[in-house]
Amino acid sequence: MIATKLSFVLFCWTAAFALPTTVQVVFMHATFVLGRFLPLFRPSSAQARRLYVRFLLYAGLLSAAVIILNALFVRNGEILLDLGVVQFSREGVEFGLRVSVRLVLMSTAVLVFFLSTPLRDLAVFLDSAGAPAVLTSVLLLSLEFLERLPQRIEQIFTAQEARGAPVRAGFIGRFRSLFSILGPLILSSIVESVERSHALALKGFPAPPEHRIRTRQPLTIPAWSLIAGVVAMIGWKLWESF
Amino acid sequence: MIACRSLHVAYGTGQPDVLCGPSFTVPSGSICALLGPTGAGKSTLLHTLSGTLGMFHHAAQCSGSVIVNEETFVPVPRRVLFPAVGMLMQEPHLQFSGMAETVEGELKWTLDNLGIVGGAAQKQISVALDRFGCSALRARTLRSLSGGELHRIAFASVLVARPSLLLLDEPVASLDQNARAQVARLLDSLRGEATILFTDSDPDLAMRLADRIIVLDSGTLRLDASRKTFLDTVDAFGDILTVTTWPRVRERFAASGPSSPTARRLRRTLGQT
Repeated sequence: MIATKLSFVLFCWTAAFALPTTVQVVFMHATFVLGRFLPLFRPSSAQARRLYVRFLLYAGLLSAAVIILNALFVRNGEILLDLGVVQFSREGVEFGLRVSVRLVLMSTAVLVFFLSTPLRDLAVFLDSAGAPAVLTSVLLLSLEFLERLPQRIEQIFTAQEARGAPVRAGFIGRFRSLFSILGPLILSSIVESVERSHALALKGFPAPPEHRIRTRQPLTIPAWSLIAGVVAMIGWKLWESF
Repeated sequence: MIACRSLHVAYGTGQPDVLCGPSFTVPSGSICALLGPTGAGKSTLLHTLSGTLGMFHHAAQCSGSVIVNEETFVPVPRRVLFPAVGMLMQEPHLQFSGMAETVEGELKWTLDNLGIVGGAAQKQISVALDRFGCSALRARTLRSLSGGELHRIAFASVLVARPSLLLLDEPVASLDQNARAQVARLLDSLRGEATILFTDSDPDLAMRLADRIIVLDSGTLRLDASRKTFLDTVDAFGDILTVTTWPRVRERFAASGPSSPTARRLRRTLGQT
């Protein structure tokens, strides 16, 4: 399933450069809908769902800002709106629309992928797909770090508080004690990362390539279709340019 | 079999030696305890023997040699000796791969790395979990386990690869008395199957289990002897080891007389006739 989602991201990124803006708008909205309703692309946790909604809001605001700024500063061609001091040009609006649609389509595809894919699943997929061990290790270490972060911060907070540091005393107090929190946090994370690297190696990670192949998942029909779509778009652009 | 000869290890050029030339041999199938205070070099020695020191600490300066299962490394192994060597580290939560959510998945991941899949893998997982009395935990998520359960599963995830040499870094630290007894029983059941080298700062487990006891102090070998010899000379290590149980046992032994049931039990435990 991760291969399908990665193929979808690749498809959206290719579409963002290869297809006309009107088609991109359709894909952009389709991605919004997929991220909201299709189980495969739906955010995997409540926190991820909140993040997705917030992203949509910010994407809308960013798009509006990009369109308005381009409409204001690109002065070529037909003027759509003349307010005396401020003029909005058609070319500026179109350029802003093109840029913002491309950006939103690409970022939505990536965001939908990451919000719907637990890091653990991604690490397993990359490992079985033969990705470099360093990449998988970094993902796993990040996963461990993020999972334990709230608990660790709470522990350090309590430890510093027990020593009289004003870690919860208003904004200024918190800001002052930031360094006394960050130091132990970074240090303990480094120590744990080293230990976990040892643990992974002690369990035979990374496995030899012949062992990875045995656990590899075959590509699904949707994944193949999306890859075929990518090849078709690239082929079409090349044909068009010649 | 595992051995080292005049092993010197420093974590960098110009750094002091963490291991200052210990030489010892642990025969195949035996249980050996590595005792010493914090900073004695116990963990460094285990990491050297497992290959993690050579693999990850590129600046480390090593000399001497290490022999693991008839293979000689001069000075030390530069790769992790998986699956011949299995190592259990102090913190169980750091032992897990992060690639699996369930107990079964965690054990399966180790076997995947060995290329063991399907029925053979399932069988090895069942054997490992049975050994630890953890069959009921098979489908549980790692997050839902208690500290003691995590410890046992971490141990099972090492044993599932069937290493011939087991290195255990303070396997009973932070465990309660019941859990300690369980680990002791388990190690005892592995006697003869695997060569076991475990570290501890408290000699209790060593006195219960070990065939040989090695005492390290500031990287230097203070003793490499049988359990009985260690018991006879334990007072000499009062400066570096906290012997909590055994002086009391010895007092009881002395007070009850040589033919009392307590003395007989003690002799049996120590393997004396």
